[in-house]
Amino acid sequence: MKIINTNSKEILKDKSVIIKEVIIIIFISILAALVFNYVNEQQIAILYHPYKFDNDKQLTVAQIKKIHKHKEVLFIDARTEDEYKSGHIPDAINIPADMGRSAKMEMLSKIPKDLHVIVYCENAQCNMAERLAKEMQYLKYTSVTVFKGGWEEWNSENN
Amino acid sequence: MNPKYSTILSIIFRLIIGSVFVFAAIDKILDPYTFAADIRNYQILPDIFSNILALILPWIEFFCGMFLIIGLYTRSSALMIASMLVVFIFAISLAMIRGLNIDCGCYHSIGNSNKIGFKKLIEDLIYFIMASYLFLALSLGPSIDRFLKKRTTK
Repeated sequence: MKIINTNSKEILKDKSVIIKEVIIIIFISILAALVFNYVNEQQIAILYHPYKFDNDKQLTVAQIKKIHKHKEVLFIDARTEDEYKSGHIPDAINIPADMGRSAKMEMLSKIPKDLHVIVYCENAQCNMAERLAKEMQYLKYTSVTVFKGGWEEWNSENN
Repeated sequence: MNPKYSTILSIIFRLIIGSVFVFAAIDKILDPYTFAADIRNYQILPDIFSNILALILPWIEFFCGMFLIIGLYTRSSALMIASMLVVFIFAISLAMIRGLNIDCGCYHSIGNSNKIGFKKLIEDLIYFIMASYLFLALSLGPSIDRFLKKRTTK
């Protein structure tokens, strides 16, 4: 007993119907996307523009340590909980960039928008810190900086 | 195989893929910003298009999934889902080959267990087989399509 159609002619018979239906689905999706984005609180620009951080110059470990000593900034570790637990910059809090949205929002809601924040992840190649920083910038945090060197650089200076 | 079983199989596949796609889509629709960042992490498309894709793709997933469940444009929805899965499988494979350790952007609310990897590939492959089956199946089970067809042929 055949359960799938192996006759290509028969499948192609409905070609024009399928093309029509695919176009309809794409059309209503685009329409829904544009309308919803217009009313959505989490609205984003149609075309992406990369955000430049306040201080574009890269922070060195020495600078970071100086800032750290003054305790005037909040350090956020954007790596996973396991990575954070296995070692992190003293006093840094952990907000994994890929954690669930609602949990992340709850953690972020405790941080004042005008606090100086330095976000880091493993090293210059990881993108978690940048991702979290961009999200925070989007949420109107005024002073967010990425420490590119991350935990690796901090740790190597300590040893 | 008894044609009754193939119909039951179609209904089960429709419900599984339909709900997976609707569930995954809603999350991304509500949080386009994170999904756009996930798309950029794949480093396949120019960054400038990441937002527009993050806005539209979840809605296509949503409608295709919803249509599969209710049985409207069933075959076309199955075809589109199968095509999307090919793209996802390609994107995940490419990211794995490049050694990127990134979030797959599949479902957000689940959280940490969401990294790309062989598990994700196999998951998508299974959905792809289900969707392809639905596109080619002789019987798709009760649907709005069938109801409309009956009315027009009467």
